[in-house]
Amino acid sequence: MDERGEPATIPIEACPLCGKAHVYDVDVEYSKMSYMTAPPARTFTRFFSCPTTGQMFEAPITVSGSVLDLEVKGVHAP
Amino acid sequence: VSGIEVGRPQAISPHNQALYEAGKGILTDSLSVGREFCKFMVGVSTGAIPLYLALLQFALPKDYRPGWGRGALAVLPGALFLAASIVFALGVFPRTSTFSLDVADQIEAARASVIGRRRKLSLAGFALFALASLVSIVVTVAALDVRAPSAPNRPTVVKIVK
Repeated sequence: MDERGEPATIPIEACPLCGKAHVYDVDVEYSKMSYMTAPPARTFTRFFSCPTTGQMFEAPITVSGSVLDLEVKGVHAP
Repeated sequence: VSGIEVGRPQAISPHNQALYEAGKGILTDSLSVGREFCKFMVGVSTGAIPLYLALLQFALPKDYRPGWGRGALAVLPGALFLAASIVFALGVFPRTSTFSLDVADQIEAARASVIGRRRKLSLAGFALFALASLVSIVVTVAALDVRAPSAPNRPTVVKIVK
């Protein structure tokens, strides 16, 4: 299975490790099911790697609608 | 309408750090777990053959020679154990694959291919092993009912006294 999601970006205004701003490129995976009513929003914790320190930090992500998951593909400066 | 909202980022908590390390361990060990299982089961499957033959010899009466049909049935569990060990050996057989360490997708595809192939072989080998174990129990229990062949009648010696 090699199914790619749609690209999007997640901006982190102030990294808790280095204090700088980072922009993470993600692939967003959408559900292929059609819903009668919009599914409830889900919140989960996602780990991010700080490009300056190389260490991990976490941020809560809330997805709504047909978003299933997201996969971090890269990071760059804003 | 679909959306993604990001909450306040923070340093990773000790609990989540432990979870992350656990996940990393699962990911890095996923190749070796299947390989070690196949390697272990090669030894178990081949070791089961003499064990089964010893049990069968113990259960059967001495000097018993089975016919063709019963002989084939008696050999079947040993052959299944042998087949299982061959399938497990294929699971640890070296494979060649080409990928670049710079391309994460290629590494992931190669890893998924190795794990998928080994999983199929592990399942097939374990199914053969389980079947062989079951058949060997049935054959050994059935062998307990086999009676010893009756000794051939000796000719009666008649002495004629004149």
